Parts: sequence; structure tokens; C-alpha cells
Amino acid sequence: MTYFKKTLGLVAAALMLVAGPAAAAGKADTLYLFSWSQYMDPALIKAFEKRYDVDVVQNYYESMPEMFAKLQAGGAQQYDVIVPSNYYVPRLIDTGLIQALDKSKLGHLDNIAERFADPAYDSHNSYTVPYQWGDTGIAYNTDKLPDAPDSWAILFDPAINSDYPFALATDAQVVFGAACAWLGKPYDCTGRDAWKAAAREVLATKARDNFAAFNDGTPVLRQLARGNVAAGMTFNGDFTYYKSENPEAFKNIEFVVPKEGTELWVDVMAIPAKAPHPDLAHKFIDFLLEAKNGAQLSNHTYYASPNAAARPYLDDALTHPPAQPTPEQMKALHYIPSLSGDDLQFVQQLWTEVQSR
Amino acid sequence: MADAGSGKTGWRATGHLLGLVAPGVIWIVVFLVAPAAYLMSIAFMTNGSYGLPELPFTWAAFKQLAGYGFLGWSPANLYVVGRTLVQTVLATGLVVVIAYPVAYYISRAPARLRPLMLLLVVVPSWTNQVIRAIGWMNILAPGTPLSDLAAALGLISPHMGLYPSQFAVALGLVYNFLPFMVLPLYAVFERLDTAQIDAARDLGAGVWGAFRHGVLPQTLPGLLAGTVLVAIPAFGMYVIPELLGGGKNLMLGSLVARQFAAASNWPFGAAAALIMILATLAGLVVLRRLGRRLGGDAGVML
Repeated sequence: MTYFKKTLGLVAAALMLVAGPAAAAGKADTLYLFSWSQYMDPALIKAFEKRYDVDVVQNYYESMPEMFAKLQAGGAQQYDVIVPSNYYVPRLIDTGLIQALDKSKLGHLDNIAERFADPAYDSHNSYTVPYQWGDTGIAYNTDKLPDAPDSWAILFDPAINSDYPFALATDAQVVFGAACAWLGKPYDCTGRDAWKAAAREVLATKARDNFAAFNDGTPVLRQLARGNVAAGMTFNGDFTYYKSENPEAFKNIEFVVPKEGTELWVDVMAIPAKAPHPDLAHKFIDFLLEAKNGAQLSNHTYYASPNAAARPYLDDALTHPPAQPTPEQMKALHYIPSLSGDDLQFVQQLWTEVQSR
Repeated sequence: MADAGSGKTGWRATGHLLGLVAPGVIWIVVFLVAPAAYLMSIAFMTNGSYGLPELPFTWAAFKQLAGYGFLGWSPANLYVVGRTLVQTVLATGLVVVIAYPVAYYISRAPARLRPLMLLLVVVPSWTNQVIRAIGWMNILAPGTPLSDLAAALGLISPHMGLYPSQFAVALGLVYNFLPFMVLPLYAVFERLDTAQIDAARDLGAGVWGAFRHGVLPQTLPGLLAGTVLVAIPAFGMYVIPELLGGGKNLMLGSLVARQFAAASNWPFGAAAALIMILATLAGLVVLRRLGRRLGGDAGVML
């Protein structure tokens, strides 16, 4: 059944690729955007199409590995702009799947906030331009856990939550980072001893009676709203969005940034190595770097904008926590280290070990 | 026949034969042999720094499958295989126990009602598997009547739910595969020769004896066909353990899927998939032998 579903998806994607150019017959050119689903304001696409008299065709992925596999399988020649997450950027550069940006074509580059101007995953933004950013924190039910501190203790300390079901994230590095931080090490810990200690902590946590599941950041919000879990790991933007959409269900759900440190992630825009329309791709990236467009994007997605010039145009909800962390909280945020080779395999083997027991 | 070997006619016959066979052969080569060969070659390749297969060829993926990794030897993969086998056998056994009486009951019902009853068995599978699994999630979640009942009986801790759990996975598998056992069993029950049962009873067989010698051999083809239809997909099942198990008790299907995604190890994933195919073939051989021993005849074909 899954294979069937996947095949159907592929067929649909292929049809879209075939239908794309046909639909674009009247326009000068077509931009192929490959991105996370529900991560773009349709009004912005319309505005871009109108300004440059082009069509934009959107394709979607649900995870970084899915995007990586599709780019490997010929996608590098099919798409003009992709939106990967920071920890996948070195992987895309090393495997030659994305091209260096021509900064002379990006007139609004100076709008990028200082914190994102020279990131660890891509020095001086040679290959990527930040799109949206956020942090990974804990969402929990204040009725069930009234005395919860702003700490990983909500998940890892049985004394804080001895009875109610809770969930951890599904990503190895995100969870090991949390365990490292809880154990008093930096969130972006590396090294086999640190990872092993983290894995032991996660195994002990998993063995607790009230551990419910490993859940992704978005599904866990629905589980929280239904009362299936009392605490879980999620993203500040998704939390803000869900809470604003359904205030009643999220009345007693709060979001905290653990003081021990947690993940800061950035989704970036990049141009695949053999993109069919690199020139148009640069125009698209620069279009989203414009102050008002950057703000419009964030106002739609509920995620923070890496665009300093966009700040005056942001909705009120985006200017304070949880969407915009306090300066204090910002100090506790770290990128996940980008791993490859033996380090990557070591962490993944540990994770398999944790999940199989 | 005499001139069949003589040059011209012989070649023409061969040509016709080839033309006749070619579409089937091409189909099998393109859609079965080529992908399988590709998968097999990946299993013997080296894992690149980002999980993609590279040369040279190596046994590394199989060593890892046997449990040798950065931590020395670990039984993690054995846990996964063991858990998968237990779930498969449990689910198949429960499906058989439920499907036997259901199929029998339907086959004895008035002829005009039978199509309707079969339809009722099949209808749930018209809905997408994922949606049905989510339905079970809502039925078994914490705070639902079923979970509260289980907590009151002391089966689970208070505040917890029947989902996510291994129990939910087993339930989901049984529910999902029931029609695949009922239909083949119904087909054999419909043709059941009741005279054999009467003869067994007349000759002094008890209920069990009559079943063992009168009913079982007759229904064996359906039972084995159903077992194959249930056990093989259950063994590699991915969706139901992922959704209903909460991702905390890894099963084989998920272990393989993970290697092509976050775990970044295509050779290991391919090696595990290869072993799964071999295990499935071994299972088929065992079932076939079992079928013969239990007194099935030529009808027991897999």
C-alpha cells in the first residue's frame, strides 16, 4: 500500500513536471520551486509571477532525506530553488548538488540580520540565503504539569512528570543534543563519549512507564491538543500557528525554550547545481530578501524572519516569544552540528540501538 | 513431428515461441530482475560519507546486519528481527483463529446473503490503511473509554493509553489482514465435502479428530494461501508499526526504511532488504513442506 501511495505521488509529480511547461506556454519562463509543504504564501508567488511575467511551479517534500534523494535522482537538473535546513547544507555543498550564489544578482543581501550573515553551516552565505528560522523547544500541558520549569527536566526528570505520557522527537541529533544539554554539556555536543552518555539517558527515559512515543514536531502538537501526551518537543513557529488557529484547544498548552540550551535551525534558499533557470532563481531569492516580502512570508508561516529590514512590517505575534525568543534565550540556541562519514554513522547506529530495545 | 527439426520450419517455430514469450520475459526483467539486481549490488557496496553507495564492493553491510558496529557487537538487530517475527506469527495466528469460524459461518449462510457478508468483510479495506490506523489511534488513545477500562483493570498505568504500544500494533495488523484470510478460506469452505466429516464421525472420530482429518486437509489450500497473503506483508509492514507503535519498538520494515532516510546507509538498507527477501522465500518453502505433511495434495500450491 505504501509503495502504491509513493508511486502515485511520483506519478503525480511527474505529471506536474510535464504539465508545468505546457501551462507556462504563454509566459516568458517558469521557475521550479522545491520546498517544504505549507511553507510559502501563495500571494507572494502571485506577486513574483506578475512582476517578472513568469510562472512558478511548486513541488514539495516532507523531509530532508526525501529532498536529498530526489536531488540525487536527477532533481538537481529540474528545480531552480530549494529550501533545505541548515544541517543539510554542508552535505549539499560537499556532494556538489548546489551552486555558489552570484551575489552581484542579490541586491538585497544586506537585509539579512547579523546573526545569520556568516553562519557556521555556510560561511558568508556563499551558497545559501536564510529563508525562515526557529527553535526547537518543549510544549507541555500546564494543567497536568503545573510546576514545570523552563528546562529539559520536563522530559528527562521523572520527578517533574512521573505519570503523564510524553514524547521525544524522532531525529537522532535533536534528541541527543537535548540529552547532552540536560546532562550539563553543550546542546551541540560532539564526540563519541558525549553521544554515548546521551544515548544512555534517552534509553533510561524511554524505559519509563509513561514514555509514550517518538513523535515529530508537528504531529505532537495535535497529540498535545487531544490530550494524548502531556509534553513533547516541537517548533516555536508551528506552536504559534496552531495556538492562533485553535486557541481553545491550546488554552493550557505552553511552549518553553529550555534554559540548558536547544536547537536554532534555519531553513535556507539554494540553487541546485544544474538548475534550468539560475538567473530567475537569483531573482526569486532577491525578491524574498526584500523587506516587505520577507515580512509577508513570516506573517504567513508564523516563523521568525532572518531579514532585519523586515522587522517593522511583522505582525505583533512575531515580535515576542515564542516566535521571537528573548535575547537571553537567543544565547542558549545552537545549530545542530553537520555530520558526515563515521560520525554520522556512529550517531545513527546509537539511535538504532535506542529505538530497537 | 518428423519435419519439426528440419531447418526452416524449426526456426519459424522457435521465432514464434520467442515472440510469444518475449513480452513476459521483458516485463519480468524490467520490473523484477533489474531492480532486484540493482538492490543486490547496492548491498555489497561501501557506504559513502553521506549514506550513498560507493565502490569498492565489500561485506561491510552484512557485518553490520549481523550486529557489528562502532559499539562492538550489539544484539540490536536481533531484537528487531525477533520482535518482527513474534508480531508476524502472533498476527497470523490470531487472523487464522478469527477467520476460520467467520469463513465457515459465511459459507453456511443462505446463498443470497453470502455476497453481502463477504462485502462487509472487504469494505473496510477500501479505506486507506493510514486513515484506518489513525482511526485506531483515536479509539485507543489515553482518556478514551477503552484505555480507561484497561487502566481500571490494572492492565496499563493510569493516564496512559492502549496506543501507542505493541498491543496496538498487533491489533492493527490483525484488523488490517483479516480479509486476506477470510476470502481464501471462504473459497475452500464453499466447496467443503461434508460427507467426509460425516464419515469421520461415523467411524468414531471426535470433534477434533473430525476436524483434523475431515476439515483441515480440505481447507489447507485456502489456509496456506491466506497465510502467505497475511504473513509476508505483515513481516515487512511499515505503516502500522510506525503509526500505532509510536516509533519506540523498531520493526524490520522501519529499520530498512530508515537506512534510506535519516540513518543514511543505503548499503545496509539494501542488505537488510535482501535478507528479508531470502527469509520470505525460506518461509514459503517451510509452508509448502508443512502443507504436504498435513496431507494436502496437488491443491496445495504456493
